[in-house]
Amino acid sequence: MNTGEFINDLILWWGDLSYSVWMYFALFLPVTVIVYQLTASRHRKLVLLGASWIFFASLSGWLLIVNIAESVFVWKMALEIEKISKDKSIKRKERAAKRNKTLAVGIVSLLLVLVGFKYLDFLGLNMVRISELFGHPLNWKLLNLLAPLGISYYTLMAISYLTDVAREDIEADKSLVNVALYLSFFPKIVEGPITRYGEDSKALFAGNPIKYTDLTQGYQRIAWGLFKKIVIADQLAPSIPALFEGNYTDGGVALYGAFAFTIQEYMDFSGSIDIVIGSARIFGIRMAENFTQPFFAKNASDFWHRWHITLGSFFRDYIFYPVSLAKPVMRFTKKVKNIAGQGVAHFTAPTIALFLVWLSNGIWHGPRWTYIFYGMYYFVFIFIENILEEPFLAFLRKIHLREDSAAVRVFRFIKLFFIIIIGEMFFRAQTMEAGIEMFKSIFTNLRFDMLLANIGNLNMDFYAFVSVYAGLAVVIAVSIMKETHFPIRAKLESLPIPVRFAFWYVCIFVIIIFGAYGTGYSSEDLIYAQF
Amino acid sequence: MRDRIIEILSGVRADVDFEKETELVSGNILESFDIVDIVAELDDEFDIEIGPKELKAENFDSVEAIEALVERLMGDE
Repeated sequence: MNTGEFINDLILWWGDLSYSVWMYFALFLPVTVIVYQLTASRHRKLVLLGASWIFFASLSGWLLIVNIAESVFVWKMALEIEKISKDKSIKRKERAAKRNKTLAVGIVSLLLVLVGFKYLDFLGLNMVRISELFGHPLNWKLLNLLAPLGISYYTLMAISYLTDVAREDIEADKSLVNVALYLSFFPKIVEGPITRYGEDSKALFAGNPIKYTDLTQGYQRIAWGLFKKIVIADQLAPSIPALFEGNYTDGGVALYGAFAFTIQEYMDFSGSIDIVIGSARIFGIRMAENFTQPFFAKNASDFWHRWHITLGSFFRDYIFYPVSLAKPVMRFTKKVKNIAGQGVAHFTAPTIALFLVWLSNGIWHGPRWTYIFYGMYYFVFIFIENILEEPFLAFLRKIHLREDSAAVRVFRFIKLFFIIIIGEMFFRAQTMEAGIEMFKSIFTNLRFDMLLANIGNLNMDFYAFVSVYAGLAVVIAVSIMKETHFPIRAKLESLPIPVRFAFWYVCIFVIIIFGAYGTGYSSEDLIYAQF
Repeated sequence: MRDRIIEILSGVRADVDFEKETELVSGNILESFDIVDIVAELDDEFDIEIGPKELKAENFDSVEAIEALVERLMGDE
C-alpha cells in the first residue's frame, strides 16, 4: 500500500468512525486521552467538548450545528427558568405559572426539532392515507431528512435538564461549555445512556487527571462490550434479514428469528453501552447503568427496570408521575372511586399515565407503526400483570407454593422470555402485516424442518454459529454471577499478575479471532443508533 | 403522624414490613403504581400537595423519609 492509498483508507475509516470500528479504539480514544491528560485541569472539559464535536461531525457532518444551536437554546432557557424561580417580586402561584410556561416553550421547541427531523415523512404519509379514506387524496413529497446524530437521546437529556431546573432540583449552569458538553459528550451521544445533568455534571466538568484504575477498568469494560458486539451480535447479524425478510408462513423460522434477533439486539445494544460506560470511566466519569440482567426479571414491568433503564426512568420521572399526579387525573380518579370503588380507582391514574408512557416509548423508537405497536404491546402486558398479580399470589398461597420457589421462577422466566422475543419479533418485522403473519404462523404452522433444512442459508458459517452460541454461554454465565452477586471483578483482581495478564490477553485474542470483521467486512451499524 | 403514615402504607401494600424497610423505592419494593396510590392518600390525609419533583427515592425509601417529606410540605403551606 502506498502513502496515497493509506491516507485514502484513513479518510474512509475516519468517515466511518463509530464504536465498533477499530479507528475509535486505535486513534480517537487514545489521542483524546493523551490530549486530555496533557491539558491543564481547567481546560480539560474543552478537550472533551472538542473531541465530542469532532466525533459528532465525523458521523453527522454539518448537522453538528443543530446540536450546538440546541445547546445554546437549552443553556439560555434554563437560565431564564431559574431567573423566574428566583424572582420573589411576583406571587408564588404566578411565578409557578410563568415558570411552567417557559418550561413548556423549551420542551415544545425541542420536540418540534425532533419531529421535524425524524417524523415529518411519517406524519405526511399517514395524512395521505387518512385523506384517501375520505376520498380526497393528498400528496406528500418525501423529504428523507437525515437526523443529527443522537437527536432522540440528547433531546430527552435536554428536556430532563430544563425540567430539573424548573423543579429546582438542580441549578441552571452558567457555563455554555458545560451544557454543550452534557448534550454532546461523545461516548453517550450515539446510543445513550440518557443521563441526568445532576448525575453527570460533577465528574464531567471537573477535569480530574486520569487514574490508573479508571483507565484499566474502563478498557476492561470496553473489551467486554466489544466481545458482546463483535463476537456475538455482529456474527449473528447476517442471518437476521434472511429470517425476517423471507416468507412469513413458517412458525419455526418465525420463532427462531424472534430468538436470534433478541440475542442480536441485546448483545449489540448492551455491548455498545459497555463500551460507552467504559470510555466514560477512563475519564473518571461513572455513567448510569442501562442494563442489569434483564432476562432474569420476574415480569414485564421488572424487565423494563433492567432493560434500557435510563429510557424507562426518563419516562417514569417526566411522564408517568406528572400525569398520574396531575390535578384533572386525580379528580377523575376520585370520581371513579365514588362510582366503582377503590379497586378500580387504584388502577385509573397509573393506567392513563402508563398508556402515555408506552405510546411515547413506541414513538420515540422511530416513525414506524411496528414501533408504536411494540410500545402498546408492553402497555397491555404490564397493565394485565398489574391486575393479575394479586390473584396470582393468592392462587400460589392456595396451592402452597412460595413465590420464590423454583417452579414459580421457572414459570415466570418462560412466560417473560416469550413475551420478550415476540415483542422483538414485531419490533424487527418488515411491516406490521409481516409481523402479524409471523405471529400467526407460530400457532398455525409450527414446524422446524424448513428451518433445519435452511440453516446453511442463513449467511453464517459453522464458525460463526460456534462464536455466537459459545459467546452467548459466556454472557449467560457472567450474568448469573452478576445476578447472584458473585464478585467477578474482585476475584480477577486477586489473581497473580501473570495470570491476570494472561486472562486479558486471551480475551483480546478471542475478540480478534472470533470477531466478525476483516477484509471486505464492514462492522454492523449499531441498532440503537438509528432511534 | 408516623402511625397514620404506616397505616396508609399498609393499606396500599399489606405484604411489606414498613417499620423495617429502608430501601422501599431504591430496593424496588414499591412499584410506581403503589407510589401513586400512596401520594394520593397522603395528599388527602395531611392536606398537602406532593408534586412530581418530590417523587425521588430519598423521599420514599423509609417511613422516616416519608414523615420528613410530609412535615416539610405541611410547613410550606
